[in-house]
Amino acid sequence: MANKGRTSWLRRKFGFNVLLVMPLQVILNFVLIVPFALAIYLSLTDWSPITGPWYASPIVGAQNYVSILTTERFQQAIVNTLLIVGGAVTLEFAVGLVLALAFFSWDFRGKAVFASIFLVPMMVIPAISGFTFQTIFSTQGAINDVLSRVSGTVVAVDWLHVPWSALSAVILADAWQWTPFMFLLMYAGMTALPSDPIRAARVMGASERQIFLRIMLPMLRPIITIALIIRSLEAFKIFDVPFIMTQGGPGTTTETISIFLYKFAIQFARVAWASAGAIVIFIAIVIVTLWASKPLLPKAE
Amino acid sequence: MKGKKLIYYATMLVAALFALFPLFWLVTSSLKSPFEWFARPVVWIPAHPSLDSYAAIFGLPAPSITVVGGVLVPSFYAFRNSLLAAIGTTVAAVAIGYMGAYSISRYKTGGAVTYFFVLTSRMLPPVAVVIPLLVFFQTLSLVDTVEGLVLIYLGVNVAFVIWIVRGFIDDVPKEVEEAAALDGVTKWSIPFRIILPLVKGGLAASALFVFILSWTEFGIALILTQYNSTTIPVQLFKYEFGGGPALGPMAALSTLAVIPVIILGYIIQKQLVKGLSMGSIRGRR
Repeated sequence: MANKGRTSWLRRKFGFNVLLVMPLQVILNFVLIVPFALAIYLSLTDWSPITGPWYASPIVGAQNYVSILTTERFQQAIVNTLLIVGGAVTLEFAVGLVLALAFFSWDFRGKAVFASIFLVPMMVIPAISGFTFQTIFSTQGAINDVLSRVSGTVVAVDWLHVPWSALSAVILADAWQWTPFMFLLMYAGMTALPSDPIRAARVMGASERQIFLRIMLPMLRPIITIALIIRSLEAFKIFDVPFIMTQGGPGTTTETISIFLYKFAIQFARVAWASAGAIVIFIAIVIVTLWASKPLLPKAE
Repeated sequence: MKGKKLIYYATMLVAALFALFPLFWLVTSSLKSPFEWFARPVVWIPAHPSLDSYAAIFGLPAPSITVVGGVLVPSFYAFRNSLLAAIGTTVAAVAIGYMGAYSISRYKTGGAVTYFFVLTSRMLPPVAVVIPLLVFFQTLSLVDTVEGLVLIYLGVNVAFVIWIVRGFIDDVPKEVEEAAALDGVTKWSIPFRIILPLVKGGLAASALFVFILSWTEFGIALILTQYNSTTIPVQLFKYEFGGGPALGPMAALSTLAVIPVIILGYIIQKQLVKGLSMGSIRGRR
C-alpha cells in the first residue's frame, strides 16, 4: 500500500489471488494444456516422426479415431486395464479395510511399529517393485522354490508367461505396493469418526458386526469413495509394473492402455494414430470421473 | 483373552511379512554372488554375502562379477540425475503449489473450475502429453535434459501439493490472518510469513510425496532420456537388456535407490500420514 505508486502493471491488472495461482496455471498450460491441444491436432493428421515435420502433415479428419476404436488390440488393452484396475483396487481396498479395522478395534502393543512396516511398500519405486516381483515370479524365483519345498517335487512354472498368472502377478504387485495407501486412508477415516454413535450403539447392545456395517461403514463412505477414485485413476495409467514384469505379454494379455500407446507411439512411430487413442481414453476418464467424483469437488459456494 | 492376543499378533506379523518380503528378496539378491543369482533351489540367504554387485554398478573392481552389457554405464550419473530431477521438482512444486493452494483455499480463485483443472492433470495418461512434448522439447532442445524432466514432473505432480496443502490451509482459522492484518502485515506477506510456518507439516508431507513420485518416475523418463539424463529406474532397465539379466547389480541399484526413501518416509511419517488423510478427509470441502 505504501508503494502504490510503484505497483507494476501485473499487480494492477490482476488481483493478488490470481497472481498467486498464475505460476501454477503457466506450468499446467505449458506441460499439459498446450501439448494436449497439439495431441488433438496430431490425432487429426497422419503424422509420424519419419514423414517429416508435424505441421506439414495433411489433416485426414477422424479416420484415426475410427481406425483405433475398431482395432482389436486396443480393445484388448482396455479390457486388460479394466481387469487390472478392478482386481488390484478391489484387493487393495479389501485388505486395507480389514487391516485398518483390525488396527482400529484390536488392542495390542506396537501399533506404531506395525504401521511403519505397513507403509514401506508405498515408498518402493514402482519400476523396482516390478523388477522385484518379476524375479520372485520367474522360473528360478521364490514362488516356485516355496512350492517345490512344500510339495516335495520340482515346480518350475514360468508364471509370467502364462496369461492368467501373468495378469494375476501384475495385480498382486500393484496391490502389494498400494494396499498401504488404502490402509492409511481407511485407518485415518476411522480414527476421525465421532465416537459417540459407536459407544451409544454398543450400550444398546449392538454386535460388533452391526456397529461396523450399520454405523461405521456409512460414515466412512465419503473417504471410501475418494480412496477408490484416486486409486482407480492412478491404476488406470499403470505402465511401469506390467511393462517391466511382462512387456505386456505373453502375447498382449497384460498389455495395458499405457503400454499399448507407448508401443505404438514410440516404438512403432505411429504418433497420430496413438494420439487418437490417448484422447479417446482421456475423454472416457474425464466422463467417468465427473460422474463418480462429486465428493472430490469442492461444494459450490 | 490370551488366545485373542495371539491372533492379533499373528495377523499383524503375517501382514508385516507380506509387506517386507519383496524387500528382503531385493536386499539378499544384491548380496548374492553371481552363481547364486538364479540357483535352484533358491539361495535365500547368501552363504558369503558380497558387496561386489554394489562395486560393479559404480565401475569399481568387482572380482566375482563378469560385468555384462549395461553394467558398464556408470550408475553414478543416474543417481545424480534422479537426485537433481527429484529435488528440482520438489522445490518448484512446493513453491508453486503452495501459492496456488493458498489462493484456492482463501480466495476460492476460479472456484471449482481451477480445482477440477488441477485434478485433470492427474487423469491425463502421461503418454498422451509426452509425444507432443517431445515435439516441443526438440525445438527448445530440452530432450534428454534434467531440466526438461523437471518441467514435466512439475506439471504432473504439482496437483498433489495442492491436494494435500489445501486441507492444511483450510484448517488455519481466518482469525489468524485478521489479527496479522491488524498488526500491519501486508496481504503479500501473510501467506509467506504467517501461514507458511503454520502448515509446515503439510508442506513436508507433500514435498516427500512429490520427491518420491519424481525420484521413481519411469515411463516419461524412458521416453525423454536417452543417455545424458538417464534416471535410476531407466538405468535399471538398461541392465535388464545388457546381454542378459544382471540380477545382482540390478538389485544393488534398486536397494540403493529405495533405502533412502524409506528412511526419509520414516522420519516424516507423522506428517505424511496426516497429510494424506487430510487431503482426502478435508480436501473435498
